[in-house]
Amino acid sequence: MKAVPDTDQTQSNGIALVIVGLTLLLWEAIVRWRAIPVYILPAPSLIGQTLVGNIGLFAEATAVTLSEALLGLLLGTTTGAGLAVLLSLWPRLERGVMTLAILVKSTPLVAIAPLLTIWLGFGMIPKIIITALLTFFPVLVNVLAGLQRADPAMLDLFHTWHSGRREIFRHVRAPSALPYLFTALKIAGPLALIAAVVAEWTGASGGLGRTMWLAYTNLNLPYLFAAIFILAFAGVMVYGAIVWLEKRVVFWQPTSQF
Amino acid sequence: MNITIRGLSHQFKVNGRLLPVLRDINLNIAAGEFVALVGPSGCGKSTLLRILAHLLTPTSGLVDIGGADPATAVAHKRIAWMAQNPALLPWYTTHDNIALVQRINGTNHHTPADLLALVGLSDFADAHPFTLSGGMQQRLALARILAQQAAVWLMDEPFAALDELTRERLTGELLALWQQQRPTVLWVTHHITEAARLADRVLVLSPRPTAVLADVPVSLPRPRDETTAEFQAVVRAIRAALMQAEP
Repeated sequence: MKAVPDTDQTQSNGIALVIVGLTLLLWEAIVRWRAIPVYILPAPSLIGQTLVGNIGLFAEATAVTLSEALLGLLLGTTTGAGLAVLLSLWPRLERGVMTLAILVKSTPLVAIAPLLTIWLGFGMIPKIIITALLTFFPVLVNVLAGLQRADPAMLDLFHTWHSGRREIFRHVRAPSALPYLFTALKIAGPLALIAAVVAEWTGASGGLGRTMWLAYTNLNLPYLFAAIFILAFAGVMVYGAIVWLEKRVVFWQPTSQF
Repeated sequence: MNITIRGLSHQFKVNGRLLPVLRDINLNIAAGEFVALVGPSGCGKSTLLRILAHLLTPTSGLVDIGGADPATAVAHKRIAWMAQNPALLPWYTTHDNIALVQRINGTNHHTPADLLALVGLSDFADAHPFTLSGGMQQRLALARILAQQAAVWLMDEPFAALDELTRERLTGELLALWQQQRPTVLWVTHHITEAARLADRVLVLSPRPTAVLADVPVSLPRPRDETTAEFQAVVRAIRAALMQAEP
């Protein structure tokens, strides 16, 4: 089921590309016309050159950050969904666990990240943990809501079949929670990238966050912007992958393109 | 399977106040009988059915389904339930929706394909319920009822959301299936003519708190001709009892 037909979709993609292109052109024109120094705002063409010229370095950094973000997202999602299942089966635990989850969620990421770096070093592990800490909450809240909001008519039916909790969970509650899981992933996916980058700022041996940090301390703005471009692109790609997967997994729900 | 109800009363608690819904209901329904329940909307028709299906525990009174209380009847898989919302599982195909009921209920006298053929959905075995029309979805729900091979069918306005024509066709098909399997049917409806067309007996219920106002037997051969004077007399009798029910 498609909310937008294919031709419309190609058309709106085209419009988005044109807008991005025009913005870059305008940016280039202003930088040249006002002769803005490169340490304030580099022209898109220079950023492009920097990116292409150092493509190997950027690719390596992107691989590190993407791995951290995706592994963190995986850990956060499994923890969040696992806790949601636990709470739906034992509702008595809900108040206690949710209080703890809100506590973890409310502690500023910037405050924990340096600590984890001190304790666990400059490798990927602290970044994965930070990413997981930031992404598990939206998954927990949404999946729990999905498990609890299964269609009462379906639950009635299964009760008249004298079904056990396990059968009801497997055939009603779990599938009912899937659309909610994807809503959570659409928030948590891009968030995972931000979390990994911010965690790298507190000290890392590789990754886009580290690249940005080095570029910033050297006032190498073309380098900094190149990293930002890559991050924005990676964010769009991660989001797109989640939407693609959603359409295939939750095929019974009419989903929007976004 | 016989159903006996004695002194059944039920109250809901709404905002801390007790709201009586059913008041001293007494009923005897014979095995294989098709009984229609009609009454003003908001009366306790659905509540009564939910109590029989063990989805609700009554405040007081006795319910006996073939010698067992509702909990035992459900545990012994004697009850089949169908409501206006067909509650099909959209993540499974029509075939798998049937197969699942059979697996849960431990019935395998028919294959899912046979049951889909019975309700005219043979060509849609691999379709998902959300791709079917409203009438076809109710057909699938009907096939699911057949798959259970239950002795009692509790049907809470199953075709209320359908258009008149589909509704008439489906009630006709349902009647044929009932005549083959002969379960005891409790059929809740708003339609007087539908009740007269289907049932052996029409029970007219009063507004809340619900009591049985009239018990109208319909001893006409099936299929029933709605244009005959006898049929019209039955309709008039039900309507008269319903008018009485209006405050």
